Order: sequence, then C-alpha cells, then structure tokens
Amino acid sequence: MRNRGLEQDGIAPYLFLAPLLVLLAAFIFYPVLMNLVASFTEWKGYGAMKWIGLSNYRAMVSDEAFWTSISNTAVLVCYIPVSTVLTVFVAALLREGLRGWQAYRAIFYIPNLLGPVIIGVVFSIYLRDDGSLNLLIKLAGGSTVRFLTSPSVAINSVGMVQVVWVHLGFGLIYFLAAMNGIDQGVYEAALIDGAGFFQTLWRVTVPSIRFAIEFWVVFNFIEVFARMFSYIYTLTRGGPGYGTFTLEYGIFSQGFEKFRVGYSSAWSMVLFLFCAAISVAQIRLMRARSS
Amino acid sequence: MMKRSILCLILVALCAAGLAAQTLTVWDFKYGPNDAQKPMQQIDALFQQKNPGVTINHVAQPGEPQYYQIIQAAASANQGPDVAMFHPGAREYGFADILVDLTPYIQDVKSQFTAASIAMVSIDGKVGAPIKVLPMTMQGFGIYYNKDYFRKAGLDPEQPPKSAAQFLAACEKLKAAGIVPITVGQTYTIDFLLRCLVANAYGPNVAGLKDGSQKYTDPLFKESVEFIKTLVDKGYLEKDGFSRPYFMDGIMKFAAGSGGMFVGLLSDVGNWKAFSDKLGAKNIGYFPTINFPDGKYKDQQVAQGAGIGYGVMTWSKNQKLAAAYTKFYATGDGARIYASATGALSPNTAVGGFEGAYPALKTIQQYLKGALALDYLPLFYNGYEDDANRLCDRVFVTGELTTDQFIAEYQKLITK
Amino acid sequence: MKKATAVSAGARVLVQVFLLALVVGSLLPLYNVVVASLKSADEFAVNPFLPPRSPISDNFVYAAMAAHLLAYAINSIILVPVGLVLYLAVCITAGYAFGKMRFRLKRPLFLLVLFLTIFPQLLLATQVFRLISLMRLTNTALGVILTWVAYFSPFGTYIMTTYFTDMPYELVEAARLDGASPVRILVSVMTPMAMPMIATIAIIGFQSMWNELPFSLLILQNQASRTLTLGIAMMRGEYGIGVPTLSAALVIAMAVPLVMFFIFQRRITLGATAGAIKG
Repeated sequence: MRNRGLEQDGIAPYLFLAPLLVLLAAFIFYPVLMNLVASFTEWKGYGAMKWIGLSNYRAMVSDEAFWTSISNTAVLVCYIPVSTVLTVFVAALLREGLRGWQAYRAIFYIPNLLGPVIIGVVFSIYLRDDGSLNLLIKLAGGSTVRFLTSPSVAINSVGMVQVVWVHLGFGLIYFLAAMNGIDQGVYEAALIDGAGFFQTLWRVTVPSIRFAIEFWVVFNFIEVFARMFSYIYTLTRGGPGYGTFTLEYGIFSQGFEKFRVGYSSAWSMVLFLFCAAISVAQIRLMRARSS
Repeated sequence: MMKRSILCLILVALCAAGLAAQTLTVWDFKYGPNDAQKPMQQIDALFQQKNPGVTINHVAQPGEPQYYQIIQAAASANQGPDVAMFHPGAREYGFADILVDLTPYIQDVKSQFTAASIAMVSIDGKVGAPIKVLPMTMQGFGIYYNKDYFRKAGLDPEQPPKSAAQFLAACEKLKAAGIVPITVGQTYTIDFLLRCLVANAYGPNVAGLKDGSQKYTDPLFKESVEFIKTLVDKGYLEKDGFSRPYFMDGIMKFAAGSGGMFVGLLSDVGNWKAFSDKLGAKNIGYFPTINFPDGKYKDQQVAQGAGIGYGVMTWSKNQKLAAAYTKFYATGDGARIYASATGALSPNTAVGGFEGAYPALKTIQQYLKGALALDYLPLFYNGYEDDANRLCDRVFVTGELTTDQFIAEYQKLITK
Repeated sequence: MKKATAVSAGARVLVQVFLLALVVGSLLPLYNVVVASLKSADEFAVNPFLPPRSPISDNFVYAAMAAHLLAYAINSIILVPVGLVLYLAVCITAGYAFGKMRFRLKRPLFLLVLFLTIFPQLLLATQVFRLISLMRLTNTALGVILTWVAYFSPFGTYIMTTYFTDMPYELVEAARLDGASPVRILVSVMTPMAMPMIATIAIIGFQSMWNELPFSLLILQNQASRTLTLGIAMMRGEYGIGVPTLSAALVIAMAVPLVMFFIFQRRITLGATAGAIKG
C-alpha cells in the first residue's frame, strides 16, 4: 500500500472515493456523532431534545438491565473458543480427503445462508417447551429442557445456535481454504515421524494457520457484539425476562420499546466503545499480517 | 365569451372533483384477515357511500409492540397516516404531541359515551383535558370456563369457583380428570390474571397506584402474587404454554376445547363471543375474579373505560374528514356493525344490545353493572407493559425473583 | 486433497458417523419446518413431528397471498439486485482508488473505512431513520437502498482494496502509458480482471442485503413496501397464525437463498478462500 515515490494521481482518487465517503459520512459518521449528542438529552425520537447532562449515564450504571445485558454478552463471548475449536477440528477432519467432503461443506453452510431472521423464527418453534426437540428428548427418556423459558438456558441456546452452529459452515470454507496453504512437506514429515491425527493437528496445522485463526476470533467478536440482534429479536425478544437481553437488544428496547431515545443513546455509546476496541484489534492484526 | 364561461365551468368542476376526491389513510392493528377485517371493510364501504369521492386506504399493521414502533417512526418523520388506531391510556398519552384534539368535532355525540370511556381517552385521564381518541370498545378481563369439562371433573357448572379455596379445589379436580386446568397463552395470561386479582385488592382505589396513595407493598397484592405462584407451581397453569410464540395460540387452544378455564378479554379477541361461537353459547361460563377471604372487596370486574379507538394525526391534511371517520366508527351504524361482528362491548350507550342468546354475555353485563375497578396497566408510562411483562417472566416463569423481590421491583417501575 | 493421511481406516468410519450425526442435527430443524408446512392445524396438533399423513398446500397459499409473502418476496427480488448494482459500483471504484491509486490521504481514509465496517445497525438505526425521513425517503426503494449500500459498502470496499492491491501494478502502468484515463483503466482493464472477486462481494452483498432487518424495519412501514425478511420477522406479531402456516412462510422465505446457493455454490467457496488468504 505504499505510494510509489511522490507521483500522485491528483484529484481522481477523491472523485472515485466520493460516493463511498459521502454515504459513510451521512449514514455512519453522522449517526454516531448524533448518538453521542443525544446521550446527554431526554428525547422521544421526535420533537424537542432536553439537555440533561450525565443523567442517562448515571441511570444506566445503576440499571440492572444494563449489567444483565453485559453479562449476557459475556456468556456469548465464551462461545467463541467453542466455535473456533469445533470449526478447526471439523475442517481438519474434512481435509483428510473423506468421501463427500464437499457435500458436507455445502450442507453445513446452509444455516449461514438462510440468515439470522429465518434461523431465529425456525428455532423459536423448534426449541419451544412443547416443540420437536423436547419431544425427541422426552422420547429418549429425558425431561423437558427449557431452552427458551429459562434465562440461564436461553442465553446458551443463543450461543450454541448462532455463535457455533451458524458459523460452522462459513468457518469450514474459510479454514479449509486457509489449510490449503499449509506446506505439504512439513505435514508429511510429521506423518513419517509417526504423528497421529491430533498431533499433526496441534503441531503442524494449527500453527500454520495462526493468522487465520486470529482473524476468525476477531470476526466472531464482531458477530457477538454487533450482529446478534436479528436473531434474538425473532427468537425470544430478549426474554424470558432479561435472559437473552444483550447490549444490542437493550439499545433497541430502550429506543423502540420504551421510546427513551436519549437513554438508548447512552447504551449505544458503550457498544460503540466495545466495537471501537475490536476494530483497533482487527486493524493491528492486519498490519502485523502485511508486514 | 361563451367558450370562456364553459372553460371556467369545466375548470371549476374539475377542481371540485379534485377536492372531493380525497384519500384517507388509516393504520390499524385490527385489520388482519383473521381479525376485524370483514366488518371494517363493511364500515369503510358505508363511509365511502355516505361521503362520495372519498377513498379509504386501510392498512393492516402488525400488533403491539411493533405497532407503536411504527407510530414512533412516523412521528419522527412527521408524516404518515391520517387516522391511526390507539390503545387509550399510556400509549395514547405518550403520543399526545402528534394527535389532534377531537373535542370540537364531537360535541354532538359526546353525551353518548360512558363517563369512564371519556375520562380514559382524555389526555392523562383527566376529565376536561383534550380528547384525542374516540373510543370504539371498552375492555376488561375475566375467567371463562368450559361447563362440559366442569361436569366431567365433578364440578357444578353453574357455580363458578369464585373463592380462592374453591378455585384451587376446582383446579385440582380438573387436573385429576385429565383436563388442563387453565390454558395458558403466553405470559399475558399471568398478566391478565394479575390484573383481575389486583381489582379485588384495591377495588375503587386502583388509581391510587399512580399518585402513590396505594402501593404494591399492600399485603393483599402479595397474596395475589403468591396465589398465582401457587397456580404455576402446582401445574394448574400449564407450564408448556409460556413459550407459545403467538398471542392467539392460547386463545385458539381454549376455543378448540383444550382446557377447563382461560383468562380472557371482554371485547375484540378471546372474548365471550369467540368462545361461545366455538364451544357452544350454553357451554361457556364466566366470573370476573377470585375472592380472598381477607379481601376488602369482592367480585370486582376489572375494566378499561376504553379499549381501542381511532385518533387523527396532526400532520393529516384532511383533519375534518378524518375526525368524521373516527366518529363513524365510534357511533351509529359503524359502531353497531363493529360490535355485533366482533363481540366488542361498546362504551357508546346509544349502540343497541345484542341479538341472540349468549349467557356468558348476560353474566358479564351483570358484573359490569356492579362494582367496576379500573385496570392499572394503562395508567403508567408508554412502554410500561414491556417492563411489567419481563418482571412477570422473572418471578413466575423463570423463578429468578422471589415474591418480595418482584413486588419491590414492580413498585420501582411506577415510582420512577 | 492430500495423499498421505493421519487417520486410519477404522477411524475414518467413526469420522463419517460423527459428521453424519452433525448433518442430521443440522438439518433436523429444517426438516421440521418443511414437514409442518404441509400439515393442517388439526393434524399438527396431533402429529407435530412425523411426515404428514395427508399433506395439504393450503398453508402455502395462505402464506403467499393472505400473509402477503409473495408480495414481500417480489419486493426483495426487486430491491436487492438494484441495491447490489449500486453497492458494486461503490465498492469497485473505492477499492480501486485505495488499491491502486496514489494520494496523500490514502492511509488515513482507508483506516477510517476499516474502522466503520464494524458498527452494529442498532447503533445507527434511530439516526439513520431520522436522516431518511428528513430526506422524505421513508417507505421508498431509494431510502432503503441508500441505507443498505452505505452500511455494507465498507466491508466490500475492504475486500476489493486487498484484491486490487495484490494485482500487479504493471497493468495499470501499461494502460497509463497508452494514455488511458483513470476511469477507462478501471472500467476496461481492472474490472474485467477482478471478476472473480467482484462475484464474491456480490454474493456477500446479496446475502447481507437480503437478510437485513433493523433498517428495513424502520424505513419500510407500509405493507406494500416490505421485504421478505421483514415479513418473516413480523409474523410473530400477527394474530391468528399457527405453526403450520408460519412454517409454510418459512419454506417460501428459504427457497430463494437456497436456489441461489445451488447455482452459485462454487463462487461462495472461492470467496471465503480469498478472505482466508488475504486475512
């Protein structure tokens, strides 16, 4: 990305970038700024804004719902290592040249393809207390699992489905491609040394795709903090109680269920800080990669 | 000269026609095909007949809470429908800024409405304040029961189990006979039941909850909460029902004969007409609430003066016509068609009674003539229902909160 | 794949079993949906799980017509490709500018674009909606398309930038010596060469826009303008819809992405490949 010498391209680059920059300024930059301003006001989303200083932030810090939303998000973060381990493991398995590995890769991609809204609605039916999965469990002799009506289980349902299951398909394609770049020689040398599947996985494969794994983890962080809303909205509406109420959902709830837009903006600023931190981490990773 | 006059006449005629050709856009959360669409289409056709040149563009919007999100979005854009349906109470008051004061338009019909309904549609419930919605229905909650199932369980179908002890005994007998004692819709079943019990706890003083003269820390409220908890713990309220995703699921289940009792509504959906038509008019019984032995009040019917109604939006360019439309639905033929088709109870005293024998309705009407208690939910802020339901989830469905914690949190909600 | 393997024959069978179990687990919910969509409400009450004894198509008819899913699907089918065209135009031009052109503000602007890829829609929703309503674009195709393009372009731009960066500079050099203007270089030389990657971001962009919810929820208020995704998300708020009808709606909603998937399967694979290699 270095500029070659001092020869510049004049005004053309700026013209090429104009559409993107104008859109970004209007639809992302300005909204984030307005959010910051609104967070110091009391506002219904229309009409007058009333300046109230730090009141929203004070209220937020003493709001139990806020801390619940943070802890729920934290639970989801814990599913990231689960997702990573499972995905790398299955990718390594598929890599062994099993028959029909391409079919597996394609089928596992389907949940990702369908999108969070469809998956959310499907699972809101499937995971009900009297839904099919519980029927299966009861047939097998177990008792009803309250996937959606117990707050401690519900947040884990969200983690298992959206963080692990949905991303498996995309992850497989991603890691299989990354593993393609592994030096075949090193791999065969390890086999000659008598290494088994798990040893080659741990000693050869994983170190070779270190960067890919790091990016995958960052990608999942983004997903957990910033892309869960559609799924939670269709699955549980943030319930039961506050069981699946994440920071993202909280912003929606304060702004659009309670019509307290100023307060919702305070929550937005917290989310903004998390996202900014993740973004910086991602940029640092990319810099390290290209050097 | 002649040519000019003719031209002028044509232009004037065109202008008049243009002016007369108006479209009124109406947003509605009751316009679904399984809801009130048919009678509303009838009423709209009648309105268009009486107002030639007017077209009604009636739009079906999803129900709560998405409905109010859309209204809020329209408010911030300052554009949207001419007329929109509202729930009088906190929802309406929260949007007072964008609703037109209808008082000058309704002077000729105001006396037809019950005092309770006029009070409720006036901003902040204060009599004399601007009236921003015209009430089409009055609402309330109560317990319906299936008389056949009562007989099967060895209970007297003509003696509803009105005391706490009788109620628990009845549930036990139904359960023993293999019948689901109380069909559950979603958490709203508990919400409705709580409102019925609160009516008995505070009686005519429910409004005191708003000004602080009454509190949820009253021991009678605690008794109500613990009673519901008992119902959940003993399995009388079917636990599996709480994860039903749709409002109508529970209602349809009861109407299909799947339970002994159901906490239903008085108007619109899930009411005496819906259940009587499906299960047989002679087969449906009703009682308004459960009486506790140490309660000060008994048999209070929880009621909302106004259930739903139309309001006119401030940005509408056809305010006079829009006001006429809201009047059309709340009075005269419009109100009559709506009430008789849906089983809604109209707060308009000039709207006639029902044809056909509905014993359940007769029972309800008797209770309505008796002691009425205000429903507390519409008293509080716009969005209160969401907070209240999440709290109910946490104590009754997930068991995260103890009764005392719940009461403390519930009280905190309204003393913000 | 490779010739040498670390897995014994016996273990291979185990692996196949494990993978098959995962597949069954993966597809089970979807199977449930398809099966439910073919049942009447009465049959579903009795038999929620096994294939329908007397399949009916009423649910599909209801979902398509009375629940307007067909109309919503048509809206999506029109809106998304149009949005995609604008999206590609923006991403390709900006990507080329960042990848191959030289200007002083390149690095800071690129970092800014990267920084903005992450923000969740909820963060922006209220303000974006206000903006759209100030521009009088609520309920319009233009309003929702502009929002989608603005929101999804940063990521597409980033991908195109990395691709263009890795292309040999000699191509550009040669075209310049021939006297071509930057626009001509982009259109006639770089774009055709970047087709594989363009196809990739097209698929990513398509999927993103098709499944988008928060912005559409606020901007498209009229029934007439709603997208398929929005229609599905809102069904939970509708009275009177049972599981079989909802399932039929889901099947309709799933049909389009699945069809597109089978057609463009290879491209999707290549796409994630690019992501992995470029990091």
